[in-house]
Amino acid sequence: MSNKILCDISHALCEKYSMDVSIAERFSIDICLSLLFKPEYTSLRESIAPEEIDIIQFAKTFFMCILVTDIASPKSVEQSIARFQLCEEQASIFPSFDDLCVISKYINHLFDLVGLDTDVITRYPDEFTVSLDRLEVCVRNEHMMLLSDISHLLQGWANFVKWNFRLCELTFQSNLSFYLHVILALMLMSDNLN
Amino acid sequence: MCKSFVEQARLNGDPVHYGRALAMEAEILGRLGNFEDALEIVERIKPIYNIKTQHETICKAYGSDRVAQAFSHSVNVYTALGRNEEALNTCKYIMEEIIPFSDPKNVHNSFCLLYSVIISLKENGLSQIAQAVFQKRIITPFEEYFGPGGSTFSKPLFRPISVLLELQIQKEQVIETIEEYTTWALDENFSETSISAQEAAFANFSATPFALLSEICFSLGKIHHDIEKKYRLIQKAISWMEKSDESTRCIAYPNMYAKKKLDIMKTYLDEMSSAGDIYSAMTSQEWTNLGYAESELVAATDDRKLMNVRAAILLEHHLDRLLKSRNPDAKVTEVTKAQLVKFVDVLSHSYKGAKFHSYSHVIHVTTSMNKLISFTEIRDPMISFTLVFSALFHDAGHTGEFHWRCFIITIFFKIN
Repeated sequence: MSNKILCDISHALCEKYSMDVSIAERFSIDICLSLLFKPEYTSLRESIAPEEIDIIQFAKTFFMCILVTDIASPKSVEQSIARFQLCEEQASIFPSFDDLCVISKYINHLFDLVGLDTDVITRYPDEFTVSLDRLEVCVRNEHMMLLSDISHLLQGWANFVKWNFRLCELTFQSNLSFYLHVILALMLMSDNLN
Repeated sequence: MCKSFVEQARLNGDPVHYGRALAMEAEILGRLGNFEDALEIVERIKPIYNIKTQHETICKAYGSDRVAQAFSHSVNVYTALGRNEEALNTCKYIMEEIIPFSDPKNVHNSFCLLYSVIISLKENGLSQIAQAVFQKRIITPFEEYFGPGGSTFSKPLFRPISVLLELQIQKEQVIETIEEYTTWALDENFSETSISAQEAAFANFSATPFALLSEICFSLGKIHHDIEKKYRLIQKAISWMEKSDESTRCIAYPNMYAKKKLDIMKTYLDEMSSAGDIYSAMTSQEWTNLGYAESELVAATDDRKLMNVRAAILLEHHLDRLLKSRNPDAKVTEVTKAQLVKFVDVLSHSYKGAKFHSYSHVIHVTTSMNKLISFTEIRDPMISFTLVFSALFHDAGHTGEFHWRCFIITIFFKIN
């Protein structure tokens, strides 16, 4: 279900996250980090991020990697293109980098999930400052995520066919369902009008 | 000699000794593999054996009820002949008609009577019943009459039997105590001499104690996701079962049992691969044919367990790099490995079988990410770990469906 539809039908997730962008992605982040921060995964969590600074770096990268997979939102795609252009030495046309940061809107959500307080911004100011260097890293990671997510389109014929066939099947079934429901809705409306 | 002995006992006229002599003959015939003849002898015991009047005298003369034990031996004989229903009926007869009338203080006797019953129930998928009867008729009476510090010949087998039954009940699910059991099963200090006396004695009753230890290792090996430990457990299982095979050369049923299990275990080992093999195969496959390489180690699959193993191996590799970047001597601990495996398993269930945004899809994405990382010069292991981690969980909780129904109904109600 796309993020737009989630909001159109007032899905609980849309209400929970209160914004109409990247809802499904934030839900994935929630599921994953909520689990990782349970007591039974202490050893795993501490292996990944033993110190506060490690938690910050891990959480930032993880948030960014998941959020950038929301390619159905025009605004997200615009931002992605802008970040890429910026790193292609067109920095002069962008007055500020801040708007291009993937996670800035969700920073409180990030703090909540990994148990950090807002004071960390003061303690580690560099980690929360948007710079060209950091954006370059972000763009590289972002494109690795996007590339991996659609890798079946960039590999051999067998992978291309296999995954696109699955996507076609899904689309076909959904469209079939769509038309059936259009008919159902029209019938219901017709009854109401009569 | 056996037949002469039986004849002399018959002439003596005491049903206690005659029954004992017949039981011995049945046991010998069973050991030699003359199963049909053994069953005929057991049929001759039935009309002359009365547990209510003879049990105490038999135990006094022979230490345990060596006549009733003929029925326990017949469980193996029926199993060897492929007559499972009769084997289970005999188990039921022993549990309901013999054990309740046996002296509960004679735990050794109860153990001898129930050993083949427990193994037969286990083999027939009735481990829960086996566990209940083992607890009620052996463990509880032992604790009551002997106390925890007490001793009986079969006591060293109490824990192996309990663990084996627990593992069988859990089937192929990962259990909380897996690490504790694995450490115990792989303990090099646990030498075969500590139960060699029981090995020889209980080989007469059913699968041998070495065979039970072997099955514990095998059951643990099958559910363990740490590939190194999995290897060690399966290899140890084979080693124990080979010893059981060796020690039962002259005893038909436990030898059949050992050979059959050994075949299963060796086949399983042949189909296994190490974590290193899997990681190397996943990383070295061609980008264009990813998932379609010839090696079975990387071939695309929809088998969740196999996908979990591959995902955990990839994550463990990148986590190991991350740990070594902080301390060159560090490595992923056993506890962390276990948590990683469980974490992957739990999150894999958040993928609800969608056609496209499925667990298979994220495994493909993760494998692609791992391959991409090998193309790049990412030096920060935190980033490479997080990229693989993110690839694996980026669609967690995805419904994977277009919910036109909700959409249309919403529009319908808005119009109205």
